[in-house]
Amino acid sequence: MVFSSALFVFYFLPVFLLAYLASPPAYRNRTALAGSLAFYTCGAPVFVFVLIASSLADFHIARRMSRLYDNRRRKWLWASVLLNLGLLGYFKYANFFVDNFNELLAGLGLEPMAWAAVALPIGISFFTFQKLSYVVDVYQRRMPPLERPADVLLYIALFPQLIAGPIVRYHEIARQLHQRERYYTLNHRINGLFRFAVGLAKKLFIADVMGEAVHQAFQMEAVGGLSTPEAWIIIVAYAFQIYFDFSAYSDMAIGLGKLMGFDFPENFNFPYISGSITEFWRRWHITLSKWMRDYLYIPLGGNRRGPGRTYFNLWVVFLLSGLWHGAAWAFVLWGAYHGLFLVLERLFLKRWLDAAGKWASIPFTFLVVLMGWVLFRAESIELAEAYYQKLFSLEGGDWSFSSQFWFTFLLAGAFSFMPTVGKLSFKLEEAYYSHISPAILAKGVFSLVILTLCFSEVAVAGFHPFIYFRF
Amino acid sequence: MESLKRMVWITALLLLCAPLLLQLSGIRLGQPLKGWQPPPPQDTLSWESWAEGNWQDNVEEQARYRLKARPLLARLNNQLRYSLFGQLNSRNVIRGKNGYFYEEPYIRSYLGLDFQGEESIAENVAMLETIADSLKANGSRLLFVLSSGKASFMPENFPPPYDTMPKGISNYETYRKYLLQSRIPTLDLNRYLQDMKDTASYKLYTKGNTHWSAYALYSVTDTLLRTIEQLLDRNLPDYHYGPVTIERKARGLDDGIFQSLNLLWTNMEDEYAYRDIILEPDQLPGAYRPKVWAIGDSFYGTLMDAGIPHRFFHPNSLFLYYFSEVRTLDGRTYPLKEVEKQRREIENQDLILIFITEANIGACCWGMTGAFYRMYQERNEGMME
Repeated sequence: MVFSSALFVFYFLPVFLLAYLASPPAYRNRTALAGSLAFYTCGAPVFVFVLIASSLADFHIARRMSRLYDNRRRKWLWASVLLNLGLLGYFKYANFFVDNFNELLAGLGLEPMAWAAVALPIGISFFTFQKLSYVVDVYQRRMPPLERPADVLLYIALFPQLIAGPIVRYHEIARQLHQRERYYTLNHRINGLFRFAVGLAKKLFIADVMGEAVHQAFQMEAVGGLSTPEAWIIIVAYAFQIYFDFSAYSDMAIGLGKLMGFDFPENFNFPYISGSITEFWRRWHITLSKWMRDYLYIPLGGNRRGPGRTYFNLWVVFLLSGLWHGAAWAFVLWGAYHGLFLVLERLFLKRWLDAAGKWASIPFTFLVVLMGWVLFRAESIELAEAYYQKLFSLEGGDWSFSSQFWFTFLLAGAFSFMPTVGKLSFKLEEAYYSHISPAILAKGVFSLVILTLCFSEVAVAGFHPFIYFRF
Repeated sequence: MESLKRMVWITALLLLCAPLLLQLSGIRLGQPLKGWQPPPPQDTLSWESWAEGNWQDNVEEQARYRLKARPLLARLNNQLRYSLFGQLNSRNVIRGKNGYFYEEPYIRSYLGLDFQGEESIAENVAMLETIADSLKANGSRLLFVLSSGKASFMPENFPPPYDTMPKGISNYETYRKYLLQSRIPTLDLNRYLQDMKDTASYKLYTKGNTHWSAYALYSVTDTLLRTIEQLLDRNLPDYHYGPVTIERKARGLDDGIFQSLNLLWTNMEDEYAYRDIILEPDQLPGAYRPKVWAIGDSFYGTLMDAGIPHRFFHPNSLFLYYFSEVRTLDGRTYPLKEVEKQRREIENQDLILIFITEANIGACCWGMTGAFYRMYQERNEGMME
């Protein structure tokens, strides 16, 4: 069940919301947990047992760790890490490794290994990281473990962020699991509704429109027919699609969280106005970057072991980040590509970009990101290669996009680069996050209009799965 | 301010719950949607279908399809897309110049893009000729009516890219050529309306319809009835026309394509000329009304909607819609399944009317030609033996 589906919008959401609002404070967590498990069970009836069983294992491991003060703590931590990464590795990467191994065997003239493909539980990449966050935070004594298994399950399975983030680190939300009266206000709820409506509109009216054109172009047989200008327009459209799709999901998750009294961390902050790849990763999928920093980069030594080791650590982090996004060599290359630019920026590029000023550094960074998106979207090296050739082949030709495409393309561009110009964007952003009454009221009224339009789209549109559901 | 905010919040909650409440109450919101969509197939719940996600996909489709608020929401969505981007959410409908809507197959057929080839058309007409001769020998007559088409009538309003496409040989032109060379009685209403185009007092095709206007329908009715009288050598009931009234809004489906767009604002303003056909009262008792089987498409359907067959043909006359569905004059509808039995009835009719428009003529005549041709061939072979 995705947030833009008719089942969710017209059935699940109103029923859950009414039940949650009607629940006395002491029962709200139970309602949230029941709703979350129903949400996940509906989409993944088999894997819900994996989710519950592994969360319960983490509950017991964390409890045990918190009571130990010797080396056994570390052993229990490793047990949990192995359990969680083992599950992730099996469900997400086993097919990939077996396929590659079989290719190797075929290259050596040997029989391939027999293997039944493993189905991917939705959201496993996200909830695995949250589970790891839980045990590591308890291990580091950053936060105490939760008292009841249901609380751990609620943290892991809370449906707004369960399958596509934001990745909420345990220490960011631990207190809210039991004390969120502060956020359970009318203003907070209206803000939540507004964020949900904006997210749904971004998904339906921008990401899906861009996605339709991108989907048609990113096929091996279609790439040959593209002109160079078309190929550039399509890759920019894909940049908008993935941004508005993923940030839409985050908006909806944050909005739903607010409706329930939670305050999830922000996940995007106008990534395309970044003046460097370093800055890009501070603005794009912020919660993943923070998770990677806290639980991988710093434990690897961060930047405390000299420049050489820092570059190595950075690259490892981004290689793994690429692999986290998908079990394919194109994703690994994409991660390595970003890692390379981060290293180059540490070496010299950042200084050059800073000296060049924002009107040079922003387009340059956007171009670097676009080239990365080719790898990301193509998913196969062959298709990416063909697409790169098309981008730089200087083949003239016509392009034909609908007026809706152009309207949406320009709108997406205006939103994406808005903060680069003028004070108006600053004021809009201020109003967007504002808690003062007139702004809240305006956002409430705006939400009514937007939701009505979104309902009209959901009622007639086809099925639009979110891009990040695969990850 | 607080109470205002509370009001907005409660309104928002009501809005969120409205589709669900409508679903529970069974109240449908908005005018029913025009056109047809195949309902999503029902998938029964099983562990396999649930685990594989098929059941969820089906439930999602069903949820959308059965939504009581869907007519209103779909119309709102279509209206926005239409008003902002000129998008038409109806299969095959395109918007031409000067606000004229077309169905694309008509344009393609006019341009010859679906040309069947001269040989197959000649063969088909030859079979029809055998059928017509056999019917005549048994006291029935066959009349082939080449119905009109909007594309032939006004190619000047084609939208791009069709407006600059060279015109090729069309099925209609080829059928016309072979029909006129044959012994099959033929009435070309397409040419008839084109000849009237510059002199007609009122529009023969309106902007928002595939079919001819109500005014054109009365004109072709007149010609059709006179042709039938000549062919059967019998007088049909006399009639006269009532006065013409001009309206800005269409009656019924006179802006059918526009209505099929399922917009919020459903009326397409245009010039609609209406008049009544009034039977002469003294003609009614004992007047001759031929028994007619009309095998045709929606153009004959417009005559049915206007009550023409009801007034001039025998009450047992039938409309064999696309030669697959039977429509009786008293409003019953049933599938034409037992062709074997039905085709023996053909000779009990006074007139077999084939009524087909340019977009459909390539499919002439939906299996009827072969079925009746074989029947006569078998009969002739039997007689020879």
